[in-house]
Amino acid sequence: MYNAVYYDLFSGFRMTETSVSSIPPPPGTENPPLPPPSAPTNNSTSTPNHQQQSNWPPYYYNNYYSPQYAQFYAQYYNMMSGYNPYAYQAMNKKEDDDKIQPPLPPGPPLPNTPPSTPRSPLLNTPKQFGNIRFQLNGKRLPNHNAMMQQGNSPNSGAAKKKQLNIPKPAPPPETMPPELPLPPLPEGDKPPLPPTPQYDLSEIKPPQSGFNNPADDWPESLKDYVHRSYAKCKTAIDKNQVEIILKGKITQAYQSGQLNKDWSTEPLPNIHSERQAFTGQVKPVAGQLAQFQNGKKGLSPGLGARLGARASTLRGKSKSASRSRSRSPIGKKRSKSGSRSPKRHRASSGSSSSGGEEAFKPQIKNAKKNKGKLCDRLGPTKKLSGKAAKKQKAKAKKANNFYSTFGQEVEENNEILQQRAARFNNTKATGSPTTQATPINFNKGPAFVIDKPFEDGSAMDFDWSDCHIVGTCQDLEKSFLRLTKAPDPCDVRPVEVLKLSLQNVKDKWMLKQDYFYACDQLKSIRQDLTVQGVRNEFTVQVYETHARIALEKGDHEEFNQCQTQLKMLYNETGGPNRNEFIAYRILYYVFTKNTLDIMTIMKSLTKEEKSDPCISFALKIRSAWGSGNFHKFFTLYSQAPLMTGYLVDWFIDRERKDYLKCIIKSYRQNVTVSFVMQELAFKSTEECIEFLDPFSLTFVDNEKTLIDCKSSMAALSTI
Amino acid sequence: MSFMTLAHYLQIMDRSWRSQDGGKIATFISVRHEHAKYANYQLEMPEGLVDKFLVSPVDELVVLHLKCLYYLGKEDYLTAYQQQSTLVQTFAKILQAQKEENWSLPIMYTICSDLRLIAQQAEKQKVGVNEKPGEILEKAAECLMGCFRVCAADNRSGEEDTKRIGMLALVNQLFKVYFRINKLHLCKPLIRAIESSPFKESFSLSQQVTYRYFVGRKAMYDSNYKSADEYLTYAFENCHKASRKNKRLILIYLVPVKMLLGYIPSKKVLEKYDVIQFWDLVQAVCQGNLKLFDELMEMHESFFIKCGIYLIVDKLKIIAYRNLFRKVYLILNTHQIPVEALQCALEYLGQDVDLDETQCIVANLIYEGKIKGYISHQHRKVVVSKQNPFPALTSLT
Repeated sequence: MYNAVYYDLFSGFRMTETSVSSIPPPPGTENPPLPPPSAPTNNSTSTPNHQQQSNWPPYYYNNYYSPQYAQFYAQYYNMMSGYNPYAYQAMNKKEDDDKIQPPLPPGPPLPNTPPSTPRSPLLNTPKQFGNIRFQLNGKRLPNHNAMMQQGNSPNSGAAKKKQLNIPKPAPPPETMPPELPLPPLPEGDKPPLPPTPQYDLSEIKPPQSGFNNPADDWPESLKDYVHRSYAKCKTAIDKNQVEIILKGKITQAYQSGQLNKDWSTEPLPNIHSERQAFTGQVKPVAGQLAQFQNGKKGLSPGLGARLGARASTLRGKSKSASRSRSRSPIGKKRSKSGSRSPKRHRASSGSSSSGGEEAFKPQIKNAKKNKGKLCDRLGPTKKLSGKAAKKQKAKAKKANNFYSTFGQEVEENNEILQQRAARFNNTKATGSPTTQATPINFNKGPAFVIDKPFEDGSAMDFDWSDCHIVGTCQDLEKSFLRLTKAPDPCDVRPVEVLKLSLQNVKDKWMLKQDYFYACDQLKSIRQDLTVQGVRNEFTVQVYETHARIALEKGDHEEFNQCQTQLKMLYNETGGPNRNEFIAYRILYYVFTKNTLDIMTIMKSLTKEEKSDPCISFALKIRSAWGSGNFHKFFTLYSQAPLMTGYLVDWFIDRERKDYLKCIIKSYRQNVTVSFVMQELAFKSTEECIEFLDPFSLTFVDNEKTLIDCKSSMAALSTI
Repeated sequence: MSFMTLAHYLQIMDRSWRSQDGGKIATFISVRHEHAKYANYQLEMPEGLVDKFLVSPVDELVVLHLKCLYYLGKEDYLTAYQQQSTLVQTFAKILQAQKEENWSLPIMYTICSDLRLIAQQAEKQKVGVNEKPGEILEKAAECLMGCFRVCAADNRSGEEDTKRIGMLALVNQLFKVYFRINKLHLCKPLIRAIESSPFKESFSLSQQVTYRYFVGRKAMYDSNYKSADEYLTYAFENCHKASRKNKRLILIYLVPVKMLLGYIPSKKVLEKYDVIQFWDLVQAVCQGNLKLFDELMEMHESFFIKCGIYLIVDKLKIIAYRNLFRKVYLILNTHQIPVEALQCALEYLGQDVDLDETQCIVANLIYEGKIKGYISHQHRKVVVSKQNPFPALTSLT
């Protein structure tokens, strides 16, 4: 039952296209008044699909469709912009699409139907479901079906009395719901909207004869091919996929004038279910519906709840399973002997040859004096002289060049497929009929990323992070830009490129220590990973790198973002540096005085984790801080392992001030500055004096070696 | 075996709705009520039947309720939660539409607390690493906030009929959620709303006890021990004596807070409410027995952490230091205590400290006013005041 609804939504969507592509031109014009710049292209692009699509009745549309296809459908949606949020996205995207795609030849003439038919408000609202059954044989359904979903649905009792009172199985013409026509839409940028099906029905019935059906022109072999393709389908996903593939094929055939070729030899599309059965990995995704359910005012709450409930049971279960999860066991203990020289650390993600996988391995921060800079901790490259570093950089560049040429070769081989893949937001590219056609960029990462069904929020605050794409961008560097629309694959870098990018950032960081640059680059890498749904060891590396750099530079906000993500990533994929970052998190909470979250961490720690040197250090710091044992706190500070010292630095001044106040209040007559220096863990008297200076303390002598505590009491408030 | 026929149940609902008997509907729409256990109430699609008996809008509530029971029966808490959540949202709309009347508030109390309980169950049932912990509870909190806004916005009705009287119950439910998901900062606006409410004193006592329990706990986490003591004491004193479980919960927080402020609980009370774990701790702190203290901390660590009082109990160590040093002072009977003597005492009790650290501990006590005196670093002596060198903790402000 679930599938039926899900499926109907999609078929409802397909109707949309048909409706759009059959937009009647206004009287007196040959072509529909589309947005001037891109109109011809779009119009023609849609035409071949129109041929195929007009099999489905043009009843009405709604905006339920899988966002994965947003880009592919963009050409249709920009013609019917208005309320549809995706349409805007699509319009933005169109420009890029046009660049990629060669213009298609003009399609067959569009039907001549009066254009002024108003839309029905009911059907135009995004809240409405279109429950048109998808017909595999391409025949129209009796049109009353369209309005009958509420009544027909076996479980919509609560909803039904709220709905319009529609006579049950009524003959087509009588089923028109009483609707108010919308005022005619303003002409201008916006193209005329598709005719309201109900109003058209009498005119365009029977459909095959009522308006131009290009499918009539199809050769028998093609029709047969289409039928055979659909016959393979088992699930709604299959049908979606097959439809897209067929569209692509037919469009291509049309373009190249091969529409009349012998379709019987054409391989059938590779469908999802088959691949699933084959790999046994990809789980069907069934929850797309969920996003549209709750919080939808137009729906009866009962119906919404039921749908939402049903969908939500599937939530989280269908997370892309194709992700490789070669993980190192959580909590695996690293051997940490006294002198921790940075060792080569090969991440297990394997297939990359970029050499950029050396995890940042911080050294123990032993002496007070040489608090190792991050670049010292950047693994094996740390000893590089400037020259050598440059060399390595060049190597990275070279590797990148090599990579891109390699990629280009593949692109040449599969040029058309690649193109289409880009258009399709290409998650479906893997399902393209010629199986060898998988473009190189798609080898990695989730193979099939409809991924997790949507949150049960309203359709409006749709979370784009849930619709994953695979990027095609080859740029090594990219500035961070907050996404305001659906990510475009050609702006997103695939994992291979990102690995090089990360190495590049690390190299540059070691050379220049330009935090602004590094942060910007890392953020854009993180963004590319997020939109592609990549969450593996490499993702962990990126966040660890960024967290460490932010740690060193005291960027609290970025650090917090990274450590929050890392917390989740470690739960998902594990990672060798998990304990280290748990320790950082404890210290971060000490910094923010978030005792509750400290408690939560302590609750979750196992005995082994507590004995980890890094975590136990953090716990000791916490304990000393909690009981006001400043002496212990500062003693610990000077022995901070790894990069914990940087974190303690964030609140060291706060604690120093507290301790100084404490000293001044409790010691008499004088205390030596050297004692204070020692107690406050300063490396030199100068540093200590520099710290003390702003507080207008009273010194006994001019050399400032003795603080007069009693006289300094007055200065307490300035500390 | 069945409870009463569904038809009868629906008739009761219908009658109660017409006679505006909020309490009765509340009883019968609770998932904790007896009827919830019987299979004849657990219906996946009760619309048809319900429509025969009930009119809008109560029909929707009952439909959702029965569906919720269905999923609870199947132990599918997530779906049950969805149903209950829709139920609460639907009710919020109904409530909003009811002007100048508040008879239906009991229904809100019941369904909201059911919502939270189901959300907790769903949260437990949730598996898989990809789920964020607390996500469902957060959603539930949003849902409760929806009701809260309806109630808080009702400022036209007279005092008799105002829905604002329902605010505190919702706030309490929200507290329970926020404390569970560690989002205490979200409590602040709620506390402000209640403190500024003109009905502050008219809320029911049970709600006030709950409210003060949570506000007191929050104050404790904010290290505001004085007001924590105030709130928790009110809660403990006004909590119904039959609610032993609740009194025990209050005591778990009240005891450490009181001890920090220098009040020692009697053994009788601790025994009565089954929190005798604290007794050893009380002994350790009073005697300044740091060794015992450390042992107890280790022994009861998980209990303290589970209750969220580990960090505050940890602070009691400072009190133990003070009591130990007082003993040293009394033994030596001098105003000039050598730091070595204190260090010796500490080391005897298993504390690994040097002279500087001992000095630091003393300095901290002096700084907090728990010892009157000063340290002479040159002479390594702690010089304590001749009058009342260890003032009673209760006298400190």
